[in-house]
Amino acid sequence: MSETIAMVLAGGQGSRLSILSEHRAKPAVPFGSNYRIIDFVLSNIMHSGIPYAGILTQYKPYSLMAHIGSGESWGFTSRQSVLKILPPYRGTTAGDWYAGTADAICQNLSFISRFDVDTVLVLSGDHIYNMNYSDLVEFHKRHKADVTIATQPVPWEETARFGVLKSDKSGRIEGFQEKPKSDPISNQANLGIYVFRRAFLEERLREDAQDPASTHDFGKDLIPKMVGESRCYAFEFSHYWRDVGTLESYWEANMECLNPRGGLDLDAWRVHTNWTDEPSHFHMPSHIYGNGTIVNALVGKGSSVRGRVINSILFRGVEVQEGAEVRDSVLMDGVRVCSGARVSRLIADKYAEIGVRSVVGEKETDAPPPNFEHPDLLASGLTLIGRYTKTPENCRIGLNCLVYPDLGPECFPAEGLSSGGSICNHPG
Amino acid sequence: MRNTVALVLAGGVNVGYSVLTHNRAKSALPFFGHFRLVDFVLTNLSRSGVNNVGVMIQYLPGSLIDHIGIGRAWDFDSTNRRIKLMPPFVGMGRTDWYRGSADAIYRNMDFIQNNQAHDVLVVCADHVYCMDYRPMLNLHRERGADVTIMTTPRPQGTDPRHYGYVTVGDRGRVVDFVEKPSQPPEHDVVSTGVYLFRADLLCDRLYDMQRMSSDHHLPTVVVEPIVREGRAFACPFEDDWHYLPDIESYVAFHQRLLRGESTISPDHDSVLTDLRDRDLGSRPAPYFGPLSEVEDSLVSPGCVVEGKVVRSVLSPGVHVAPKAVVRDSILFHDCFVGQGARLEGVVSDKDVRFDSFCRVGAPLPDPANVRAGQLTVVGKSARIMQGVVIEVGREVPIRQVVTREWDWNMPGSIARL
Repeated sequence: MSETIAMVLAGGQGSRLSILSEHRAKPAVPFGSNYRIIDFVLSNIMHSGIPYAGILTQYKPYSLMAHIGSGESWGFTSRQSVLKILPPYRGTTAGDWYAGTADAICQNLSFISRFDVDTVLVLSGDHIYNMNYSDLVEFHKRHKADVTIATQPVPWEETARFGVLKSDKSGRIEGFQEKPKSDPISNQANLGIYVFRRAFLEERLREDAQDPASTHDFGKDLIPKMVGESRCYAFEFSHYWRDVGTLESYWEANMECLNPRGGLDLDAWRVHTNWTDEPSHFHMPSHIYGNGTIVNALVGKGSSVRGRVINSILFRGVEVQEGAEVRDSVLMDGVRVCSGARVSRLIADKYAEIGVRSVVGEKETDAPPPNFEHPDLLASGLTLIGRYTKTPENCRIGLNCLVYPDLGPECFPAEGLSSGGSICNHPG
Repeated sequence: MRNTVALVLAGGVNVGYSVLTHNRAKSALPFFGHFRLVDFVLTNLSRSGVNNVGVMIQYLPGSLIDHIGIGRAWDFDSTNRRIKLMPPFVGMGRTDWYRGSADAIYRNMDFIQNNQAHDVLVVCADHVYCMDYRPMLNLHRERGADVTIMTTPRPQGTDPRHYGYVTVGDRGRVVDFVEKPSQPPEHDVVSTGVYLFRADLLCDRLYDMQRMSSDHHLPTVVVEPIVREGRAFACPFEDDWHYLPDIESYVAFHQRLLRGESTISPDHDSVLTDLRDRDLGSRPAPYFGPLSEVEDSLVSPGCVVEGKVVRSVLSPGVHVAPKAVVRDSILFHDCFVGQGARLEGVVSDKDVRFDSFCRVGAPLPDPANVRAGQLTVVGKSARIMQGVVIEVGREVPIRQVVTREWDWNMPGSIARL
């Protein structure tokens, strides 16, 4: 029987995640206390019973490769189920950096041809959703489609961020617009989840490779051409789906883990992660000492809480000391909030430390200015502290602040950092 | 620890844990969230660099076999390290169960010989301590000892008749050893059950035992004679060491761990355990709801806390619904505590469902000092129906559905396997 292969695009930089993706590819960014972003797609593949997967990497692949390993954590252990990491390569006839999403798949057609597959699923490694792809593949085959694209309605005012698709009653796509600036034809957004008939995909990729005008991108180049010419179908996926491409959406999606009824139920779908890659002290129960107050929060494995935690996501091994308060924040592995410190609306990367009695993310004025350095990234009142950075004691840091990784207390000005400010680890 | 093999004694019969050990060996008992008692010894052996470990099993070994597997959690699954489960067996003229710890070792003597072991480390599977065995081995070899006994002051508040007493003379030499005497001596230096033997001497003693003795208990048939006739030394262990003979001591020790009063800290010492069991490694972080109240408690991955949890240990996947109260209790994996239920001084095995508004047990008068009759114990997969009241000191059998009409005096209510 012919099977399905999943090709996961995991090479993106995710530059809008700022310093969170400075050291790692976006799919490797930690998420939801226990996971990395790519765990969601890999768990979907696992739960859909898809036996073959290729993971296309390019940007800063080390964390990602270490995390994925042999794929054993997602059940890729036998000779009948194979997961391979596919970095760019050079050979005698072909090979170079991946020029675009379509080019990445095109350069790995030989990998696909190793398997007896008639259907190719192309997925993004940086979306958060729980989906059984079997329904999508079944829909695709039933309609004898060349390509089927998963869609979801989005608010009309947000259509400019997506590719939008218009389809008839049977699901056949009649029109496609990539990021329409005005007059969108539909509010059904392309979720970047594609199913292709294998022969059709190969043919189109080879064609596109010859086109000097193409940027070799599925959304920009291939899909618009296919619509109208080929049998393109839309499959509406009505459950939880998030692109966590910006700091704001990353923070929001983390917060949505606190409300399983909102659609992101980590336990019910059982998202798997590679925990064998993590140190053993990240696998301990969480210890609450004294009567620490914890309200609406995930308290990561191996964390210890002696203070207050409200509306927050603590990752693994986080320490909240006596009298400290954490509110509306996302604190990654090993973050320490020292005694008497108060943080709110903070995203702290791994092993950051908030000094004794420091205050982070407190409003000084009603309208804090956007970050002066990156107003496009940080304007919604979050503050970001990079990994291994330690703030001094009694330090005040405002909103929309950006503090780079690996900074010691001596890097902070005595008066602290007012809203919109940045502290960099490079000159200027 | 080259040339050293370790043998873990995990086959003994256990009493004192009521319905919790009706279906598992004591060493497989869940401990402090997601651990099991045997994890301490296996972590010690792994971190001490012991490469060949044999585990003697006999009594209700199922859970233990599942848990240890190929020893992957403790890195015993590599080319040059291994762990071997050693059940009793028939064949070669032998048709018997292990008659005691020394007999179990005698039957598996080829493990010692085939590994060309110079020394044999013997440890018990159900003791709680964190130790690197290497300094003990160095001492053992420097002294040219036949046996080295790891000793500790007798833990306070425990029954003095449970221990072996070691009288230590000059330079650590053991001058007298007596196992579980009816009249305990004046001093309180006791054996931890950790012994290092010279391999050839141990084998000789076991051959002698086989020919001449009807006793098959390691301390009496091997250790006592070596102390009388050979070079026996003591190696004092300075840290916390616990034996936890019964469920009361088990609960009291959990209370000390919760308050951080022991030098043992399974979470900070990163004791290793099998995270593949029940998918523990992939469970999400514990969630605390908007109305949760938590005090001095340990909450494991996959837990959902919406009610009140005080001085309690929740194993993975426990759900405490709104307005429920869990106090001075230990709940094993995947228990469900319904709305408004109240559990006090309860130790519950896995998969128990406490329906809404049931009331089980009574608060512990002194959580650090638990006495017989103060705990209420619930067997695996039992169900306590809505509004049922269970008095303190009761024991709910495995898989029992307890309704208001349930008759505690029925014969079936004693134990159902």
